[in-house]
Amino acid sequence: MTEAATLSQKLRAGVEEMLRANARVLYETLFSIRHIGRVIDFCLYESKSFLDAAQQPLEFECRIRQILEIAIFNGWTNSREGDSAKCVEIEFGWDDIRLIISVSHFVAPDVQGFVPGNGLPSNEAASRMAGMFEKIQALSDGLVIRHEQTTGRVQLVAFVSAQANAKGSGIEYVNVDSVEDIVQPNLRTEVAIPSPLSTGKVREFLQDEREDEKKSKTSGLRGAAREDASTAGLSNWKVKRLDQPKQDAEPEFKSLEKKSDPKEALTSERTEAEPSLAETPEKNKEDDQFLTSLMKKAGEGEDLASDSEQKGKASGKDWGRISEKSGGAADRVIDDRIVVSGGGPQDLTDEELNVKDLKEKYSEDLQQVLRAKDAQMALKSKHYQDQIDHLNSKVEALKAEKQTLVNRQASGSSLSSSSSEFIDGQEKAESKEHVLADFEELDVKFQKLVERYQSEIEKGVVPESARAWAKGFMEDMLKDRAALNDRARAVATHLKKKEFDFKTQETALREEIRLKDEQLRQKELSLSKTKETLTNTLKSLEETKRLASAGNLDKNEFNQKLASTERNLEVSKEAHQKLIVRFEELQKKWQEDSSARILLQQELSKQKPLTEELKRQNKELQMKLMQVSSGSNQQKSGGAAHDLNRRSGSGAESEAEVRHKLDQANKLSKAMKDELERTRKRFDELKLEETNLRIELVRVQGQLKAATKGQPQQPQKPQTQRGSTPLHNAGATGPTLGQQSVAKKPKS
Amino acid sequence: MAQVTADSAEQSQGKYKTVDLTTLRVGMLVDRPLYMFLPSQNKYVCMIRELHPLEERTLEKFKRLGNVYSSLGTLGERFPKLRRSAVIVNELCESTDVPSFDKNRRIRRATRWLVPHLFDQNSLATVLFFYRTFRIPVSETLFYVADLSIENYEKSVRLSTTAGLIALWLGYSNASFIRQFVETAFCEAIAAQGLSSEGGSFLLSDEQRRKALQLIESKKVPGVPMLDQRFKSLLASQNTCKALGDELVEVLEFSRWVCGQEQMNFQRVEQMRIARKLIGQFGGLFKRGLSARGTKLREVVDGPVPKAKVAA
Repeated sequence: MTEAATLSQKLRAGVEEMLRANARVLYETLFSIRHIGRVIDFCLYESKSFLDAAQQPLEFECRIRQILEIAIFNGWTNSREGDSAKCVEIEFGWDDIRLIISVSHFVAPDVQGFVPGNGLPSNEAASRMAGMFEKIQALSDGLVIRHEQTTGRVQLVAFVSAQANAKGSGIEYVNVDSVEDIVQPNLRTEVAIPSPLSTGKVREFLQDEREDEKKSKTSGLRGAAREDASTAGLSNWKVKRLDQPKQDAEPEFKSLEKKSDPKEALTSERTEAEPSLAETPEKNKEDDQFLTSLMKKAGEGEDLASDSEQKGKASGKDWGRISEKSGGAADRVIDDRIVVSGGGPQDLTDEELNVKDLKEKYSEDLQQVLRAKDAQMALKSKHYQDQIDHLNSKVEALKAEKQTLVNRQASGSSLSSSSSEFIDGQEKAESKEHVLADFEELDVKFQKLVERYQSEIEKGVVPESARAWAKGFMEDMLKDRAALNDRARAVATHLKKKEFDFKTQETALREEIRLKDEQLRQKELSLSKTKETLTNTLKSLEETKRLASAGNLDKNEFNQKLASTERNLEVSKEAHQKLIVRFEELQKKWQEDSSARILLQQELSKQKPLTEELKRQNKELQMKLMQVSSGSNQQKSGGAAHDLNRRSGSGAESEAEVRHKLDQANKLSKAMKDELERTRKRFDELKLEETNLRIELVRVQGQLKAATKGQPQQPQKPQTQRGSTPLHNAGATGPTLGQQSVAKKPKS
Repeated sequence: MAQVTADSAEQSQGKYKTVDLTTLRVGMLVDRPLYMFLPSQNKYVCMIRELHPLEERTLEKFKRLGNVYSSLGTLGERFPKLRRSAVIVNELCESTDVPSFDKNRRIRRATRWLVPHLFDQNSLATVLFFYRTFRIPVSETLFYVADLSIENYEKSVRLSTTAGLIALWLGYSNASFIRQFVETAFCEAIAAQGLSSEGGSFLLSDEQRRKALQLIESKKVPGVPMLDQRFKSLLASQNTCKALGDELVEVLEFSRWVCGQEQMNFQRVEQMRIARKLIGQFGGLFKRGLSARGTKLREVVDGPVPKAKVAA
């Protein structure tokens, strides 16, 4: 197919990209093969419209079913070993022209050469895969196998066209690792949106499934089931084993016990006689042998098959429902073995294989089944023969009884003597004769009936009444069995539910117990802590009680308080004395300082007029200097001769004198200035000293006051800081506003 | 865990609710921030943030002081459907009694409410749902990674659980498979961030990824089981797998985009196979969420979109 060629150029192949915009694509991920039958059923249920549109819907369905089954089993059985989560990804899409199935899984790196005609298989798994691919290729219209050796992913893409005779070429193998041109995924906007299988009509499907199951169980007879199957539509053709309903109903519960192994789950879903699908290659060989023997047997039984066809019990068209018709376990075995076995029939290998070959193959299987059915019929006729023999023996017994009755009647009539008795006896005899006549008539009728039955049996025809009885009996039996199975299943479900409920309850209770334990532990902890505190309190209380009882509590306390008070008093007295001494010293020092200050002030006042005088002189001298400088300017402007005369006379003497005086005055003013600076500095120092002394005095006064009140007070250190002004310090220590103003007075 | 914030009691009056101490376990993923009250300072101090594993010493401290508070309600109050969904999904993923399509249908029905939460990066629902359902990532791994880098750790937890949820929706409804996939995504994100020279980038070469796999195989990352070959190749040669079209790589890509850790053209995201699959599965709900997330990410990159454009 052309699609296969384009597909081989892509790195990633999605089914939706290969179909038209109106396509529908379903995808599913399988982690177990327990329910693959149902998954496939559901896929086909969803694609019913497409399947119905095919020329031969039933054949078409069967092909798709087989492709899906083989592809999934291939993915599962040949998956990479050692993986804890096996995963088979299915994509199933169709549009109005064709249907595409894609199944992906992972294989081990050593599995090579699994594509038929593309090298030899490297191991058993590869050969098994090759066989399965051949089968799929035979069933599909085109097959592409994509393999990524780096990751081990294998994707199988099978194309099935709705039109007949659309057979494509052989298997196309694409090694994805070697595809160099990376083709981006198709970004067309009208591409189909893939949906999970779960978005389909699950409820309807499950309902149909349940109804089918119910019908198959209650109908009992295969004929009725066959009628249902032929009229009820697609969902009814699912395989049902009518004579083994329990095995159908219970695999889930059986497999629950073994669900750890998916292979076991697989086997449990099938009949007990059926071997596991996921078993070793020896099993595959056995499968092949079985298949060949089956084919041989089918060849032998051709005559019987032709008879059955003449009878109209089966037709080639109904091969798709073969499992339903046959009903036995053997048909399921045949069907599955054909599907799963690696070898496969010899006639399916060539390209000329088509649907007719398949038909022939299945008709052979059908013949085999019909032979089994004939054997069952023979057994039933034998059973009827036994019943007739039993009836004959009963007839013989009745005959013997009749003879004894006749004999007794003869002996009884000779013994009667009286007339009345004779009349009575005559009446009785008449009635007896009447009864006997009736009995003889019945006997004759019965004999005739027996003869007729015998003749019918000899002819090989089963009587209608016996057939009806057997039918009724079988129906009853089947109904009972179905009811019993239902009950058993209900009980099992109930048990399971109860078990689950109990487990949930147990878990909840355990959790609750754990929480309670935790709470209890915490409460115990808090209780122990409370107890501890209580014990301590009690202990102290006991101590107090003990002391109170001794009567020493008050006395001791008072004594102790007295001693401490006396000690405090002594300490405060000592501190008081010390403070008084300190106060006196400071007062003396302050007096000295104040007297020195007064002296300095007096000296300053004395120096003041002298300074004033000096300032005045200085001013005068400056005035004179100004005059001299202005005179020199006039001389420059007036005449040089006149200047020379003045300079040469008393003028030169006075100039030198003035200069000398000026120098003297400058020196004197400088000295006075220095003296003034010194005096100012001294004055500042004295002011500082005074402020300190005032602060000290205030503090000492405060301490003295405190001491006189009787409170022992620790002597505080002076809180003077470096770089801070005394005034600031005075404020920091907290003097009153009046004191602050006192401190500011000298500044003003 | 570091003390992150402290709120005074006056500011947060009625804001903090008492947490039952018995519900706390060592190693558990904390679903809400836990605070301790300090009476001396009259303050609530955050001891552990949400999505972080609870250390033994923190729990001991809680037990010793006996008071734990949280500003958020319980998990059931915040996400009423979470607990039931987790139970259902766990049961279904472990079971083989139900056919796969029915199983996926039930899972989809039970987790449909998580679709808006998937696209909301402030919501912790996906992470907590996954942790509740599958108990992954395990405590040892959480401790190990949380000690390395808190930012990387938080990003990786979000990314891995987002990827796991998407895989679950895509039909990979097997517990073992999902666990391995989430662990792979988690370790890959951690390794990618740890090994990246740029710090925080998830795009690495196959060579660097192989180193990450070696770390796991040599059991240097505690709690991570031995992976199947598929996940090993996914971790070691992701770029190759991506080129070959592995769906799980696409799931990781998509998750990175959702978590804002990889920039992609929105059209390309919409055309991604898994996006189309999920749209097919959830319909308009998923599509709306996807477009909203796309708009938000565009706003982050290009600034706010004008109103006229939005209306258009």
